[in-house]
Amino acid sequence: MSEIIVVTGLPRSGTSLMMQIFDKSGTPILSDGIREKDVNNPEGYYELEAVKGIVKDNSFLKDAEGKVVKIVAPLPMFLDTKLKYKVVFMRREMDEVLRSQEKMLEKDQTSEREKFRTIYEFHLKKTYKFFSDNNIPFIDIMYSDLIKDPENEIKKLIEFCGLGSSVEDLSVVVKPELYRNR
Amino acid sequence: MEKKKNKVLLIGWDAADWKIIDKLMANGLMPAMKSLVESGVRGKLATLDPPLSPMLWTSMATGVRPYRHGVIGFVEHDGKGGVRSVSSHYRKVKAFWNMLTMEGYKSNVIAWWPSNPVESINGCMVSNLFQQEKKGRETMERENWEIPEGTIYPESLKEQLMELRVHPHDITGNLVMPFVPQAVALDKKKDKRLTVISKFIAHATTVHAACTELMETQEWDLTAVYHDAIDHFSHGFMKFHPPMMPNRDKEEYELFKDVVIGAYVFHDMMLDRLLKMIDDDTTVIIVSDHGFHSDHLRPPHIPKVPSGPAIEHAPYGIFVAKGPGIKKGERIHGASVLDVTPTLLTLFDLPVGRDMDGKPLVNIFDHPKTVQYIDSWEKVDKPGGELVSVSEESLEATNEAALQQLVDLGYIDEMKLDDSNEDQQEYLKGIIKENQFYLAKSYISGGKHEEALEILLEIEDKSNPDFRFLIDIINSAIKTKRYPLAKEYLNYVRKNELMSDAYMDTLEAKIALGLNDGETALKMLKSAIKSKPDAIEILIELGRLFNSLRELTKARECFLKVIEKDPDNAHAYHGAGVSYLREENYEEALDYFLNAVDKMHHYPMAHFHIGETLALMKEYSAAIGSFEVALTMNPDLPKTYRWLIDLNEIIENQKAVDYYKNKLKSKIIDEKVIITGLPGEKLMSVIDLLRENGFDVKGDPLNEAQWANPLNNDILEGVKEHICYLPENMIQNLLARYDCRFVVVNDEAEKVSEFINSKARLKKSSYNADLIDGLVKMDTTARIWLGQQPNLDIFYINELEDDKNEMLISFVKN
Repeated sequence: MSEIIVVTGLPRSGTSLMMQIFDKSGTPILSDGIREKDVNNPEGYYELEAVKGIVKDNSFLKDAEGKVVKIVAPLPMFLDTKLKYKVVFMRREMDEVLRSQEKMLEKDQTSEREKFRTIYEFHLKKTYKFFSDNNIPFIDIMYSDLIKDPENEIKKLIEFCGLGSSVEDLSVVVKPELYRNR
Repeated sequence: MEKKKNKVLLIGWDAADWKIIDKLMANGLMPAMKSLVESGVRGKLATLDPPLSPMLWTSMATGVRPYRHGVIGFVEHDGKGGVRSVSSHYRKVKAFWNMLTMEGYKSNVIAWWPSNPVESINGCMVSNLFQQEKKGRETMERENWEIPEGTIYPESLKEQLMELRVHPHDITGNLVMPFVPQAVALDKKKDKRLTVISKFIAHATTVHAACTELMETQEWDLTAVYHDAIDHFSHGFMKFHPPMMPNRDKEEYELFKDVVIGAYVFHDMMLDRLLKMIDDDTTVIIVSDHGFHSDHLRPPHIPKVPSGPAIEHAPYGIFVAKGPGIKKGERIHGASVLDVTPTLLTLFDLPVGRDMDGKPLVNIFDHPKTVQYIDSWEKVDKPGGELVSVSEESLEATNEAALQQLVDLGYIDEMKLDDSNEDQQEYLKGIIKENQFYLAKSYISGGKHEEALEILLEIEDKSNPDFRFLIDIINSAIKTKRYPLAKEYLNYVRKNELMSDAYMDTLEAKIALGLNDGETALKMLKSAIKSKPDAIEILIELGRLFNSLRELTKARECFLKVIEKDPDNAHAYHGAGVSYLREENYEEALDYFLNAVDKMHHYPMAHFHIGETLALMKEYSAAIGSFEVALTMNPDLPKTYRWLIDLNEIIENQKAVDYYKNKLKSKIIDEKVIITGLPGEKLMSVIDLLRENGFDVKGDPLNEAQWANPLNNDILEGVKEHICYLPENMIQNLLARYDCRFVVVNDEAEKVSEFINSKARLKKSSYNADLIDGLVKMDTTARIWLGQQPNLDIFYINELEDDKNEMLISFVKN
């Protein structure tokens, strides 16, 4: 596999869960373990500190061929377009995303929910536009579908990314008890 | 390429305004301008929002809006963590001097804002920093007055042009006298305003000297010169211009009341000199980027926000053109600052970029001119001039001087020299945020509310609320139909009392209208108008709502009140016109619509309504012309195409019918005609008429049970017929995927109630108050909804009359 696999989506839309699935599949992960697992993501975040600086420096992608990296939306817009990618776009119902973020931040943002909803809608739109403008192939995975019917979604994922694992092996990663804050 | 014989002299006067010029011409004080106006065309040049000069003059020089040309605000990021005065560095598109260079024409460009550093064009360029006597924060004396790098191209002209500069210290008391006749009575050292006047005179004289020198000594096809002095004089002294503003000091008024007049007269003298230097084959164009309030519209205070002084700017600048092939003594309408570059290109027989936001002003020409087009000048692969390189040291010194100038003019806040690093960072952040705000404003001005909203939500900061950002967020949210977002922000604004109650009520009314809650909208607008009975924006909204409710007299009262206060308000004329149109008083309606487009030419709905009125007056050819204008301004309005199809059918122009039918087909899918109105005798007779004419109208107004399935959201699902009746209370549930045209039958609730009772099996008394109330409410809600759908094609019927039947049938058929 010569492409870089990018797992993207809004924060709290299942990107870490998707990273666990890739981890289970044996795909090398581009992460540094700086952000440690916590109660919000008990299996870890699978993040790379360098991603935060992608706006100014995306050189960390040069060594990422064949690896998977988590880059939350809209940061994929700063990908080096000279490299090849496959993108797994995690989607989750916006109200769930907002509630989950509020819970994680321990902050009542109900009075600003529409603001964040709109900002996130823009982020999603921009990210999708970037992929289509640059002919970057992507697949949408709905978080709720992944939880409800892991086999079906993981089958799609295996086909899209060309993973060597079986549906059964990867489906065990999805634990319905993690489907929280609904 | 053979050179064009005709030359063009383009003169830019920042903030020049017809109100003052007309008075001075009438009094014989601007003879040069008068001669041009009499032997050429004149018009108003619509500005762009925000009306900030560097953005506007760059739009003027490129033909595109600021969000495309990239020059935003007065200052810009210097790429090293600091800011610098706005420069040529951030311009992303070609200016007319680059286009002319590409085509082998020679240009002199003098003091255009911004044009530093200059570019290596075919010709000469003198930047807007040429007249500057500051180096850093110091004023250079006459004898050691250096010239910054990047100011003159070609460099070989430096010595020649330097000599011509006039230093503010050269401006003696006598020279200030025409501006301040009692200057001698003032202590120049104590009253800095005389120093300021000397500086403005010196700068303008320097620019004029460079211009005349280049015109005389260089070969040129185009000379473009920009003067900022009228703007500077006006910001400083319009508050003393006659008549005296309330609460001004009488003594100060007497001292400075002639300054603005002096500035205009001075510019006329410079113009006179330039006109004497050209021949009859040279086309002269004078433009200004915006006007300047000089009458009762002068603001009593300047808001303490960045670029606050821009509140004094009026929305229209000036346009004058005189030359071979140009009309004489006529007025043109509908020109905008975006049209200057396309017009220049047309004068040189060069193609206009299809990607330009402006259009060539072809109505200035005696004979129709064929305009050539190319996709974009950005794709033309020819050298058009590069920015000359400038050393860091020189850049820093000129930058500081230019920034100080902006501080002096009140456009940016002062940054103290001893600011701590943290304060400086905050200052920079503030400036960058301000520029983002201008960018958002520019998007709003171009109708791109989505893009504006994205920026505004990012820069809005509740720990430091800025009411300007919040107003635009709410309005853009409404425009993009994000009503919950608008409501969220309005709640925040209300909670923190950041705006007047009247303004907040108006915004709430707009949201309520969007949500089809007419009752709340009316309540809010009535409450708003109670506390601010003369507020123009509220009156306009209220008038529009009354128009939707067919309370036409009340609507008209609102619009006429606006016209009384602001005789240039195009929306008020348009609203009053709509009220007359709905009353079928076509003569009056036409008069008001024509006034609306006279005040604001780029007003597609007003042109559309002129077309509609003319069509109803059976002036078919003229109506077609108006619809065609509306179409060029807004090509996405399906109902314009339908009118054009109908009218061309009437005049039997089959080619045009086919053309517009094809165009329409590309705009819509699955179209239906909905007949609605209160279920009375009139509605029945309309349906009968259509059935008699062979239309298969689905639905029966007297049998509402057929629509009574509330679980079925898609009320038209399964309806095969092209035309169907829908009760008024159902129309708001139509799904967006249907493109519907509406025939709305106007009737009175009382009559309809009588009709329904007469048809009821068990006759009740002929008067049924509850039924009438219910009908009125249903009718009101439906009409508000219809009034909020600008794209809907609606045919209103009051009475079935023979001469209207044909039009109704034609409307239903297409």
